[in-house]
Amino acid sequence: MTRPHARKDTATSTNQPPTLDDQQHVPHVDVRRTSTDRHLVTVRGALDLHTAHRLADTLQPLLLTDGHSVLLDLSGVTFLDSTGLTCLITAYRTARTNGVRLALIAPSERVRHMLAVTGVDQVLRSYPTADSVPD
Amino acid sequence: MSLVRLMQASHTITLEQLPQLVADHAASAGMHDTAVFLVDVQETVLRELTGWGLDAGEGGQEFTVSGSLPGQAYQRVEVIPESTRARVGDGARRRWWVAITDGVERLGVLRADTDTDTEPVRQALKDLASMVALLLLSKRSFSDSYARLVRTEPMNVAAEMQWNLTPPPAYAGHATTVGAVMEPAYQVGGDAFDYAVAGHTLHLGVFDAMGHDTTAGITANVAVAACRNARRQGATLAETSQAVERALIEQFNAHRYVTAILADLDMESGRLTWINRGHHLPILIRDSRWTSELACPPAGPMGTGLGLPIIMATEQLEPGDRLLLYTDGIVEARDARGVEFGRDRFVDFIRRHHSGRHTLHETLRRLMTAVMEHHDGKLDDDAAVLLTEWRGGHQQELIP
Repeated sequence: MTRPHARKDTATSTNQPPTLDDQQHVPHVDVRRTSTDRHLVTVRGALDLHTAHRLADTLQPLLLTDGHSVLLDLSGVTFLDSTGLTCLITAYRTARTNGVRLALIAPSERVRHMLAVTGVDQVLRSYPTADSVPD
Repeated sequence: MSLVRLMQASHTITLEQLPQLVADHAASAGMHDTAVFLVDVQETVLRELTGWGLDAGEGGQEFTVSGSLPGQAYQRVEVIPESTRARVGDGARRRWWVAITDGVERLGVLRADTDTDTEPVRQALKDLASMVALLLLSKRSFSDSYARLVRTEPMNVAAEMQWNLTPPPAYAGHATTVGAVMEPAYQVGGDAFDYAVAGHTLHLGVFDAMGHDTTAGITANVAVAACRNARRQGATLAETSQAVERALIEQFNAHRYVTAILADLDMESGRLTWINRGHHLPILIRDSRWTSELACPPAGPMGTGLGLPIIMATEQLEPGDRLLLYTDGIVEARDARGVEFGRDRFVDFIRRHHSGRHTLHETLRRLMTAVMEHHDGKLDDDAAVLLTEWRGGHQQELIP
Protein backbone atom coordinates (compact mmCIF):
# COMPACT_ATOMS: atom_id res chain seq x y z
CA MET A 1 0.00 0.00 0.00
CA THR A 2 1.05 3.59 -0.37
CA ARG A 3 3.54 5.35 1.80
CA PRO A 4 4.42 9.02 1.52
CA HIS A 5 7.71 9.76 -0.14
CA ALA A 6 10.58 10.86 2.08
CA ARG A 7 8.23 11.86 4.82
CA LYS A 8 9.48 12.84 8.22
CA ASP A 9 7.94 11.22 11.26
CA THR A 10 6.45 14.44 12.44
CA ALA A 11 3.61 13.09 14.51
CA THR A 12 5.87 12.57 17.50
CA SER A 13 8.31 15.46 17.09
CA THR A 14 7.24 18.10 19.58
CA ASN A 15 10.56 19.72 20.48
CA GLN A 16 10.68 21.94 17.40
CA PRO A 17 8.15 24.61 16.56
CA PRO A 18 5.96 23.29 13.75
CA THR A 19 7.02 24.25 10.26
CA LEU A 20 4.69 24.49 7.32
CA ASP A 21 5.71 20.96 6.34
CA ASP A 22 4.86 19.63 9.80
CA GLN A 23 1.45 21.23 9.74
CA GLN A 24 0.61 19.32 6.59
CA HIS A 25 1.26 15.99 8.25
CA VAL A 26 -0.01 16.40 11.79
CA PRO A 27 -3.74 15.76 11.55
CA HIS A 28 -6.11 18.17 13.21
CA VAL A 29 -9.31 16.52 14.30
CA ASP A 30 -12.19 18.81 15.30
CA VAL A 31 -15.59 17.67 16.49
CA ARG A 32 -18.68 19.85 16.27
CA ARG A 33 -22.20 18.88 17.24
CA THR A 34 -24.44 20.32 14.54
CA SER A 35 -27.77 19.02 15.90
CA THR A 36 -28.98 16.70 18.65
CA ASP A 37 -28.26 13.57 16.61
CA ARG A 38 -25.54 14.79 14.26
CA HIS A 39 -21.76 15.32 14.64
CA LEU A 40 -19.42 16.86 12.13
CA VAL A 41 -15.83 15.61 12.44
CA THR A 42 -13.24 17.53 10.43
CA VAL A 43 -9.84 16.07 9.68
CA ARG A 44 -6.91 17.97 8.18
CA GLY A 45 -3.43 16.67 7.26
CA ALA A 46 -2.23 13.15 6.58
CA LEU A 47 -4.32 10.20 7.71
CA ASP A 48 -1.79 7.41 7.94
CA LEU A 49 0.15 4.94 10.07
CA HIS A 50 1.31 7.69 12.44
CA THR A 51 -1.95 9.58 12.84
CA ALA A 52 -4.96 7.34 12.14
CA HIS A 53 -5.31 6.30 15.79
CA ARG A 54 -6.20 9.93 16.74
CA LEU A 55 -9.20 9.87 14.43
CA ALA A 56 -10.16 6.40 15.64
CA ASP A 57 -10.13 7.59 19.27
CA THR A 58 -12.25 10.61 18.39
CA LEU A 59 -14.79 8.65 16.35
CA GLN A 60 -15.28 5.70 18.72
CA PRO A 61 -17.64 7.39 21.29
CA LEU A 62 -19.62 9.06 18.50
CA LEU A 63 -20.47 5.75 16.81
CA LEU A 64 -22.35 4.14 19.69
CA THR A 65 -25.83 5.69 19.60
CA ASP A 66 -28.42 4.13 17.32
CA GLY A 67 -29.96 6.61 14.91
CA HIS A 68 -27.17 9.19 15.11
CA SER A 69 -25.22 10.52 12.14
CA VAL A 70 -21.51 11.19 11.95
CA LEU A 71 -20.28 13.29 9.03
CA LEU A 72 -16.58 13.03 8.41
CA ASP A 73 -15.17 16.03 6.56
CA LEU A 74 -12.09 14.81 4.67
CA SER A 75 -11.65 17.84 2.40
CA GLY A 76 -8.40 18.74 4.20
CA VAL A 77 -6.89 15.25 4.14
CA THR A 78 -3.73 15.43 2.05
CA PHE A 79 -2.75 11.80 2.25
CA LEU A 80 -4.44 8.49 3.07
CA ASP A 81 -2.54 5.22 3.44
CA SER A 82 -3.74 1.69 4.16
CA THR A 83 -3.79 2.33 7.93
CA GLY A 84 -5.90 5.44 7.33
CA LEU A 85 -8.26 3.40 5.16
CA THR A 86 -8.47 0.70 7.86
CA CYS A 87 -9.50 3.41 10.32
CA LEU A 88 -12.38 4.41 8.02
CA ILE A 89 -13.40 0.77 7.45
CA THR A 90 -13.33 0.02 11.19
CA ALA A 91 -15.45 3.12 11.85
CA TYR A 92 -17.89 1.99 9.15
CA ARG A 93 -18.17 -1.49 10.72
CA THR A 94 -18.78 -0.04 14.19
CA ALA A 95 -21.36 2.36 12.78
CA ARG A 96 -23.12 -0.45 10.88
CA THR A 97 -23.28 -2.61 14.01
CA ASN A 98 -24.70 0.22 16.15
CA GLY A 99 -27.15 1.64 13.63
CA VAL A 100 -25.18 4.86 13.14
CA ARG A 101 -24.92 6.57 9.77
CA LEU A 102 -21.36 7.45 8.77
CA ALA A 103 -20.89 9.65 5.71
CA LEU A 104 -17.87 11.34 4.13
CA ILE A 105 -17.77 14.99 3.14
CA ALA A 106 -15.72 16.21 0.17
CA PRO A 107 -12.87 13.69 0.12
CA SER A 108 -9.94 14.82 -2.05
CA GLU A 109 -9.24 13.27 -5.45
CA ARG A 110 -6.52 11.07 -4.00
CA VAL A 111 -8.74 9.78 -1.19
CA ARG A 112 -11.67 9.22 -3.55
CA HIS A 113 -9.40 7.22 -5.86
CA MET A 114 -8.36 4.90 -3.04
CA LEU A 115 -11.98 4.46 -1.89
CA ALA A 116 -13.04 3.64 -5.47
CA VAL A 117 -10.21 1.17 -6.21
CA THR A 118 -10.96 -0.83 -3.06
CA GLY A 119 -14.75 -0.60 -3.36
CA VAL A 120 -15.10 1.06 0.04
CA ASP A 121 -16.97 3.93 -1.68
CA GLN A 122 -19.87 1.50 -2.18
CA VAL A 123 -20.53 1.41 1.57
CA LEU A 124 -19.12 4.76 2.71
CA ARG A 125 -21.10 7.39 0.81
CA SER A 126 -19.57 10.76 0.02
CA TYR A 127 -21.35 14.13 -0.18
CA PRO A 128 -20.02 17.44 -1.49
CA THR A 129 -20.96 19.41 1.66
CA ALA A 130 -22.28 18.71 5.15
CA ASP A 131 -25.51 20.51 4.25
CA SER A 132 -26.16 18.18 1.30
CA VAL A 133 -26.39 15.08 3.52
CA PRO A 134 -30.10 14.20 3.78
CA ASP A 135 -31.67 13.80 7.22
CA MET B 1 29.72 -38.14 -20.44
CA SER B 2 27.06 -39.96 -18.57
CA LEU B 3 24.69 -37.39 -17.19
CA VAL B 4 22.79 -40.23 -15.57
CA ARG B 5 25.87 -41.16 -13.54
CA LEU B 6 26.28 -37.53 -12.51
CA MET B 7 22.66 -37.47 -11.37
CA GLN B 8 23.05 -40.72 -9.43
CA ALA B 9 26.21 -39.48 -7.70
CA SER B 10 24.46 -36.23 -6.74
CA HIS B 11 21.86 -37.93 -4.54
CA THR B 12 24.19 -38.26 -1.56
CA ILE B 13 26.10 -34.98 -1.73
CA THR B 14 25.55 -31.46 -0.40
CA LEU B 15 25.45 -28.23 -2.38
CA GLU B 16 29.04 -27.56 -1.29
CA GLN B 17 30.24 -30.74 -3.05
CA LEU B 18 28.36 -30.02 -6.26
CA PRO B 19 30.98 -27.87 -8.09
CA GLN B 20 33.66 -30.58 -7.74
CA LEU B 21 31.29 -33.37 -8.75
CA VAL B 22 30.23 -31.44 -11.86
CA ALA B 23 33.85 -30.58 -12.70
CA ASP B 24 34.95 -34.22 -12.46
CA HIS B 25 32.14 -35.53 -14.64
CA ALA B 26 32.48 -32.70 -17.16
CA ALA B 27 36.26 -33.15 -17.48
CA SER B 28 35.80 -36.79 -18.42
CA ALA B 29 33.60 -35.55 -21.28
CA GLY B 30 36.05 -32.92 -22.54
CA MET B 31 34.59 -29.89 -20.72
CA HIS B 32 37.38 -28.58 -18.53
CA ASP B 33 37.73 -26.22 -15.60
CA THR B 34 33.96 -25.88 -15.12
CA ALA B 35 32.53 -23.47 -12.57
CA VAL B 36 28.97 -22.80 -11.47
CA PHE B 37 27.78 -19.20 -10.88
CA LEU B 38 24.51 -18.37 -9.12
CA VAL B 39 22.47 -15.21 -9.62
CA ASP B 40 21.39 -13.17 -6.57
CA VAL B 41 17.71 -12.61 -5.71
CA GLN B 42 17.68 -9.23 -7.48
CA GLU B 43 19.41 -10.66 -10.59
CA THR B 44 22.27 -8.14 -10.47
CA VAL B 45 25.37 -10.31 -9.86
CA LEU B 46 26.60 -13.81 -10.67
CA ARG B 47 28.60 -15.39 -7.85
CA GLU B 48 30.78 -18.43 -8.15
CA LEU B 49 29.75 -21.50 -6.16
CA THR B 50 33.10 -22.75 -4.85
CA GLY B 51 31.82 -25.00 -2.08
CA TRP B 52 33.95 -23.21 0.50
CA GLY B 53 32.92 -21.01 3.41
CA LEU B 54 29.51 -20.33 4.98
CA ASP B 55 28.04 -19.14 1.69
CA ALA B 56 29.80 -21.83 -0.37
CA GLY B 57 31.29 -19.01 -2.39
CA GLU B 58 34.55 -18.24 -0.60
CA GLY B 59 37.39 -17.32 -2.94
CA GLY B 60 35.05 -17.25 -5.91
CA GLN B 61 34.75 -14.79 -8.77
CA GLU B 62 31.84 -12.42 -9.23
CA PHE B 63 30.40 -10.80 -12.37
CA THR B 64 27.69 -8.22 -12.83
CA VAL B 65 24.65 -9.26 -14.87
CA SER B 66 24.86 -5.96 -16.77
CA GLY B 67 28.00 -5.36 -18.79
CA SER B 68 29.82 -8.69 -18.51
CA LEU B 69 30.07 -11.63 -20.90
CA PRO B 70 28.72 -14.14 -18.32
CA GLY B 71 25.93 -11.62 -17.71
CA GLN B 72 25.13 -11.59 -21.41
CA ALA B 73 24.81 -15.38 -21.44
CA TYR B 74 22.45 -15.02 -18.48
CA GLN B 75 20.35 -12.22 -19.99
CA ARG B 76 19.96 -13.86 -23.37
CA VAL B 77 19.80 -17.45 -22.11
CA GLU B 78 22.47 -18.45 -24.64
CA VAL B 79 25.75 -20.30 -25.06
CA ILE B 80 28.40 -17.59 -25.50
CA PRO B 81 32.12 -18.21 -26.26
CA GLU B 82 34.89 -15.84 -25.20
CA SER B 83 36.52 -14.25 -28.23
CA THR B 84 40.10 -15.32 -27.50
CA ARG B 85 41.35 -18.83 -26.83
CA ALA B 86 43.44 -19.58 -23.75
CA ARG B 87 46.71 -21.47 -24.24
CA VAL B 88 46.80 -24.85 -22.54
CA GLY B 89 50.02 -26.86 -23.09
CA ASP B 90 50.51 -27.09 -26.86
CA GLY B 91 46.96 -26.23 -27.77
CA ALA B 92 44.42 -23.53 -27.00
CA ARG B 93 41.02 -23.92 -25.40
CA ARG B 94 37.78 -22.06 -25.99
CA ARG B 95 36.03 -20.72 -22.85
CA TRP B 96 32.23 -20.83 -22.77
CA TRP B 97 29.47 -19.24 -20.70
CA VAL B 98 26.13 -21.05 -20.62
CA ALA B 99 22.91 -19.97 -18.89
CA ILE B 100 21.71 -22.42 -16.24
CA THR B 101 17.92 -22.60 -16.49
CA ASP B 102 15.20 -24.88 -15.29
CA GLY B 103 12.60 -24.43 -18.01
CA VAL B 104 12.50 -20.65 -17.90
CA GLU B 105 13.74 -20.00 -14.35
CA ARG B 106 17.27 -18.66 -14.61
CA LEU B 107 19.55 -19.84 -11.81
CA GLY B 108 22.93 -18.61 -13.03
CA VAL B 109 25.64 -19.48 -15.55
CA LEU B 110 28.06 -22.34 -16.15
CA ARG B 111 31.66 -21.80 -17.27
CA ALA B 112 33.60 -24.48 -19.19
CA ASP B 113 36.65 -24.76 -21.48
CA THR B 114 36.76 -27.06 -24.52
CA ASP B 115 39.33 -28.00 -27.16
CA THR B 116 36.91 -27.62 -30.05
CA ASP B 117 33.88 -25.44 -30.71
CA THR B 118 31.65 -27.64 -32.83
CA GLU B 119 27.87 -27.84 -32.66
CA PRO B 120 28.00 -31.12 -30.65
CA VAL B 121 30.18 -29.30 -28.09
CA ARG B 122 27.59 -26.53 -27.79
CA GLN B 123 24.88 -29.14 -27.32
CA ALA B 124 26.92 -30.98 -24.67
CA LEU B 125 27.37 -27.68 -22.80
CA LYS B 126 23.63 -27.02 -22.89
CA ASP B 127 22.90 -30.55 -21.66
CA LEU B 128 25.37 -30.17 -18.81
CA ALA B 129 23.88 -26.79 -17.81
CA SER B 130 20.42 -28.33 -17.88
CA MET B 131 21.50 -31.13 -15.55
CA VAL B 132 23.28 -28.67 -13.24
CA ALA B 133 20.00 -26.72 -12.98
CA LEU B 134 18.16 -29.80 -11.74
CA LEU B 135 20.95 -30.64 -9.30
CA LEU B 136 20.95 -27.08 -7.90
CA LEU B 137 17.17 -27.14 -7.44
CA SER B 138 17.39 -30.49 -5.65
CA LYS B 139 19.74 -28.91 -3.07
CA ARG B 140 18.37 -25.35 -2.88
CA SER B 141 15.40 -25.91 -0.58
CA PHE B 142 17.51 -27.10 2.35
CA SER B 143 20.75 -25.22 1.80
CA ASP B 144 21.48 -22.13 3.89
CA SER B 145 24.70 -21.69 1.91
CA TYR B 146 22.62 -21.24 -1.25
CA ALA B 147 20.42 -18.66 0.49
CA ARG B 148 23.52 -16.80 1.73
CA LEU B 149 25.27 -16.80 -1.64
CA VAL B 150 22.31 -15.29 -3.49
CA ARG B 151 21.80 -12.42 -1.01
CA THR B 152 23.78 -9.22 -1.18
CA GLU B 153 22.29 -7.60 1.94
CA PRO B 154 20.52 -8.68 5.14
CA MET B 155 16.87 -9.68 4.80
CA ASN B 156 14.06 -8.80 7.23
CA VAL B 157 11.70 -11.41 8.69
CA ALA B 158 8.79 -10.44 6.44
CA ALA B 159 10.94 -10.84 3.30
CA GLU B 160 12.19 -14.19 4.59
CA MET B 161 8.55 -15.29 4.79
CA GLN B 162 7.57 -13.88 1.38
CA TRP B 163 10.38 -15.61 -0.50
CA ASN B 164 9.29 -18.92 1.00
CA LEU B 165 5.65 -18.18 0.27
CA THR B 166 5.89 -17.48 -3.44
CA PRO B 167 6.46 -20.07 -6.20
CA PRO B 168 9.59 -19.83 -8.40
CA PRO B 169 9.41 -16.56 -10.37
CA ALA B 170 9.16 -18.31 -13.73
CA TYR B 171 6.97 -20.90 -15.44
CA ALA B 172 6.39 -22.05 -19.01
CA GLY B 173 4.03 -24.70 -20.27
CA HIS B 174 0.75 -25.17 -22.17
CA ALA B 175 1.60 -22.29 -24.52
CA THR B 176 1.80 -19.98 -21.52
CA THR B 177 4.70 -18.22 -19.82
CA VAL B 178 4.56 -16.66 -16.35
CA GLY B 179 7.15 -14.38 -14.81
CA ALA B 180 7.19 -12.46 -11.53
CA VAL B 181 9.31 -9.92 -9.70
CA MET B 182 9.09 -8.55 -6.17
CA GLU B 183 10.91 -5.62 -4.58
CA PRO B 184 12.41 -4.41 -2.32
CA ALA B 185 13.81 -7.94 -2.21
CA TYR B 186 15.24 -7.65 1.29
CA GLN B 187 12.45 -5.70 2.99
CA VAL B 188 9.25 -6.90 1.32
CA GLY B 189 6.29 -6.30 3.59
CA GLY B 190 2.93 -7.57 2.44
CA ASP B 191 3.08 -8.08 -1.32
CA ALA B 192 2.87 -11.59 -2.72
CA PHE B 193 2.02 -13.39 -5.93
CA ASP B 194 0.93 -16.94 -6.58
CA TYR B 195 0.30 -19.19 -9.54
CA ALA B 196 -0.37 -22.88 -9.92
CA VAL B 197 -1.29 -25.27 -12.69
CA ALA B 198 -4.06 -27.89 -12.53
CA GLY B 199 -4.82 -29.64 -15.81
CA HIS B 200 -5.10 -26.86 -18.36
CA THR B 201 -6.11 -24.25 -15.80
CA LEU B 202 -3.56 -21.70 -14.68
CA HIS B 203 -4.50 -20.12 -11.33
CA LEU B 204 -3.10 -16.63 -10.85
CA GLY B 205 -3.13 -14.27 -7.91
CA VAL B 206 -1.52 -11.03 -6.81
CA PHE B 207 -1.89 -9.89 -3.21
CA ASP B 208 -1.19 -6.69 -1.27
CA ALA B 209 -1.49 -6.92 2.51
CA MET B 210 -1.74 -3.53 4.19
CA GLY B 211 1.32 -2.26 6.02
CA HIS B 212 5.01 -2.96 5.69
CA ASP B 213 5.82 -4.64 8.98
CA THR B 214 6.21 -8.27 9.94
CA THR B 215 2.45 -8.42 10.57
CA ALA B 216 1.92 -7.48 6.92
CA GLY B 217 4.05 -10.50 6.01
CA ILE B 218 2.01 -12.72 8.32
CA THR B 219 -1.22 -11.32 6.85
CA ALA B 220 -0.04 -12.11 3.31
CA ASN B 221 0.94 -15.61 4.38
CA VAL B 222 -2.49 -16.29 5.91
CA ALA B 223 -4.17 -14.94 2.77
CA VAL B 224 -2.13 -16.98 0.28
CA ALA B 225 -2.35 -20.16 2.38
CA ALA B 226 -6.13 -19.79 2.75
CA CYS B 227 -6.40 -19.13 -0.99
CA ARG B 228 -4.46 -22.28 -1.91
CA ASN B 229 -6.32 -24.33 0.66
CA ALA B 230 -9.74 -23.40 -0.70
CA ARG B 231 -8.61 -23.68 -4.33
CA ARG B 232 -7.21 -27.16 -3.83
CA GLN B 233 -10.57 -28.25 -2.42
CA GLY B 234 -12.26 -27.14 -5.62
CA ALA B 235 -13.63 -23.77 -4.51
CA THR B 236 -14.61 -21.22 -7.18
CA LEU B 237 -12.80 -17.88 -7.35
CA ALA B 238 -15.54 -16.16 -5.35
CA GLU B 239 -15.65 -18.94 -2.75
CA THR B 240 -11.87 -18.87 -2.50
CA SER B 241 -11.84 -15.15 -1.74
CA GLN B 242 -14.58 -15.66 0.85
CA ALA B 243 -12.47 -18.36 2.52
CA VAL B 244 -9.55 -15.90 2.62
CA GLU B 245 -11.87 -13.27 4.09
CA ARG B 246 -13.00 -15.64 6.86
CA ALA B 247 -9.42 -16.67 7.69
CA LEU B 248 -8.28 -13.04 7.91
CA ILE B 249 -11.19 -11.88 10.07
CA GLU B 250 -10.64 -14.85 12.39
CA GLN B 251 -6.97 -13.89 12.79
CA PHE B 252 -7.07 -10.10 12.71
CA ASN B 253 -10.66 -9.09 13.50
CA ALA B 254 -10.91 -6.70 10.53
CA HIS B 255 -7.84 -4.70 11.55
CA ARG B 256 -5.77 -6.12 8.69
CA TYR B 257 -6.84 -6.56 5.12
CA VAL B 258 -5.50 -7.86 1.82
CA THR B 259 -6.42 -6.63 -1.65
CA ALA B 260 -6.09 -9.10 -4.49
CA ILE B 261 -6.88 -10.09 -8.04
CA LEU B 262 -7.63 -13.80 -8.34
CA ALA B 263 -7.81 -15.24 -11.85
CA ASP B 264 -8.12 -18.53 -13.73
CA LEU B 265 -6.77 -18.85 -17.26
CA ASP B 266 -7.90 -21.76 -19.39
CA MET B 267 -4.63 -22.35 -21.24
CA GLU B 268 -6.38 -24.27 -24.05
CA SER B 269 -9.13 -21.81 -24.90
CA GLY B 270 -7.55 -18.58 -23.64
CA ARG B 271 -10.61 -17.78 -21.55
CA LEU B 272 -9.78 -15.70 -18.49
CA THR B 273 -12.09 -15.47 -15.50
CA TRP B 274 -11.28 -13.24 -12.55
CA ILE B 275 -12.49 -11.37 -9.51
CA ASN B 276 -11.40 -8.09 -7.98
CA ARG B 277 -10.98 -7.82 -4.21
CA GLY B 278 -10.28 -4.10 -4.04
CA HIS B 279 -7.08 -4.20 -6.08
CA HIS B 280 -5.59 -2.32 -9.04
CA LEU B 281 -7.20 -3.61 -12.24
CA PRO B 282 -5.29 -6.02 -14.50
CA ILE B 283 -3.83 -4.63 -17.71
CA LEU B 284 -4.08 -6.47 -21.01
CA ILE B 285 -1.46 -5.82 -23.72
CA ARG B 286 -2.40 -6.96 -27.22
CA ASP B 287 -0.10 -6.89 -30.27
CA SER B 288 2.32 -4.66 -28.33
CA ARG B 289 0.18 -1.75 -29.51
CA TRP B 290 -3.15 -1.89 -27.83
CA THR B 291 -3.55 -1.95 -24.05
CA SER B 292 -6.58 -1.84 -21.84
CA GLU B 293 -7.46 -2.02 -18.20
CA LEU B 294 -9.86 -4.92 -17.63
CA ALA B 295 -12.94 -3.90 -15.70
CA CYS B 296 -14.60 -5.59 -12.75
CA PRO B 297 -16.34 -3.87 -9.81
CA PRO B 298 -14.29 -4.24 -6.60
CA ALA B 299 -15.77 -6.52 -3.95
CA GLY B 300 -13.81 -4.84 -1.15
CA PRO B 301 -10.49 -5.91 0.37
CA MET B 302 -10.46 -9.40 1.89
CA GLY B 303 -10.63 -9.21 5.68
CA THR B 304 -12.84 -6.13 5.90
CA GLY B 305 -16.16 -7.97 5.85
CA LEU B 306 -17.91 -5.24 3.84
CA GLY B 307 -20.25 -7.82 2.33
CA LEU B 308 -20.08 -6.43 -1.20
CA PRO B 309 -21.21 -8.67 -4.08
CA ILE B 310 -18.38 -10.64 -5.72
CA ILE B 311 -18.71 -10.34 -9.46
CA MET B 312 -16.83 -12.65 -11.81
CA ALA B 313 -15.52 -11.02 -14.96
CA THR B 314 -14.50 -12.89 -18.12
CA GLU B 315 -12.22 -12.01 -21.00
CA GLN B 316 -11.32 -13.96 -24.14
CA LEU B 317 -7.56 -13.72 -24.70
CA GLU B 318 -6.01 -13.79 -28.15
CA PRO B 319 -2.74 -15.58 -28.90
CA GLY B 320 0.16 -13.33 -27.90
CA ASP B 321 -1.81 -11.42 -25.26
CA ARG B 322 0.02 -10.41 -22.11
CA LEU B 323 -1.75 -9.99 -18.80
CA LEU B 324 -0.22 -7.75 -16.14
CA LEU B 325 -1.17 -8.12 -12.50
CA TYR B 326 0.66 -5.72 -10.20
CA THR B 327 0.70 -3.89 -6.90
CA ASP B 328 0.78 -0.13 -6.41
CA GLY B 329 4.47 0.08 -5.49
CA ILE B 330 5.36 -0.33 -9.17
CA VAL B 331 3.43 2.63 -10.47
CA GLU B 332 3.73 4.83 -7.37
CA ALA B 333 7.53 4.65 -6.96
CA ARG B 334 8.62 8.29 -6.90
CA ASP B 335 11.85 9.92 -7.93
CA ALA B 336 13.68 12.64 -5.95
CA ARG B 337 11.28 15.28 -7.29
CA GLY B 338 8.25 13.24 -6.30
CA VAL B 339 7.35 12.17 -9.85
CA GLU B 340 5.71 8.75 -9.95
CA PHE B 341 7.04 5.98 -12.21
CA GLY B 342 3.43 5.84 -13.33
CA ARG B 343 1.15 3.36 -15.02
CA ASP B 344 1.89 4.59 -18.54
CA ARG B 345 5.65 4.30 -18.14
CA PHE B 346 5.16 0.84 -16.60
CA VAL B 347 3.00 -0.45 -19.46
CA ASP B 348 5.17 1.22 -22.07
CA PHE B 349 8.27 -0.40 -20.62
CA ILE B 350 6.75 -3.89 -20.84
CA ARG B 351 5.50 -3.21 -24.35
CA ARG B 352 8.77 -1.86 -25.75
CA HIS B 353 11.20 -4.31 -24.17
CA HIS B 354 9.20 -7.42 -24.57
CA SER B 355 8.25 -6.84 -28.19
CA GLY B 356 11.98 -6.74 -28.98
CA ARG B 357 14.40 -9.57 -28.44
CA HIS B 358 14.18 -9.87 -24.68
CA THR B 359 12.46 -12.79 -23.02
CA LEU B 360 9.58 -12.13 -20.67
CA HIS B 361 11.81 -12.71 -17.65
CA GLU B 362 14.60 -10.47 -18.89
CA THR B 363 11.99 -7.77 -19.53
CA LEU B 364 10.82 -8.02 -15.92
CA ARG B 365 14.40 -7.90 -14.63
CA ARG B 366 14.99 -4.71 -16.62
CA LEU B 367 11.67 -3.26 -15.47
CA MET B 368 12.65 -3.68 -11.83
CA THR B 369 16.07 -2.14 -12.50
CA ALA B 370 14.33 0.86 -14.09
CA VAL B 371 11.84 1.21 -11.22
CA MET B 372 14.67 0.99 -8.67
CA GLU B 373 16.76 3.52 -10.57
CA HIS B 374 13.79 5.85 -10.77
CA HIS B 375 13.59 5.61 -7.02
CA ASP B 376 17.32 6.04 -6.34
CA GLY B 377 17.79 2.33 -5.67
CA LYS B 378 15.52 2.23 -2.65
CA LEU B 379 11.78 1.59 -2.76
CA ASP B 380 9.57 2.90 0.06
CA ASP B 381 6.70 0.67 -0.91
CA ASP B 382 6.46 -2.98 -1.89
CA ALA B 383 6.16 -3.67 -5.58
CA ALA B 384 5.22 -6.92 -7.28
CA VAL B 385 4.44 -7.80 -10.90
CA LEU B 386 3.02 -11.03 -12.26
CA LEU B 387 3.19 -11.13 -16.05
CA THR B 388 1.47 -13.89 -18.04
CA GLU B 389 1.80 -14.42 -21.77
CA TRP B 390 -0.63 -16.70 -23.55
CA ARG B 391 0.45 -17.75 -27.01
CA GLY B 392 -2.13 -20.38 -27.84
CA GLY B 393 -0.35 -22.93 -30.02
CA HIS B 394 3.07 -21.24 -30.34
CA GLN B 395 4.78 -23.14 -27.55
CA GLN B 396 8.08 -23.65 -29.41
CA GLU B 397 8.89 -19.97 -29.13
CA LEU B 398 8.63 -20.08 -25.33
CA ILE B 399 11.81 -21.85 -24.30
CA PRO B 400 14.20 -20.51 -23.39
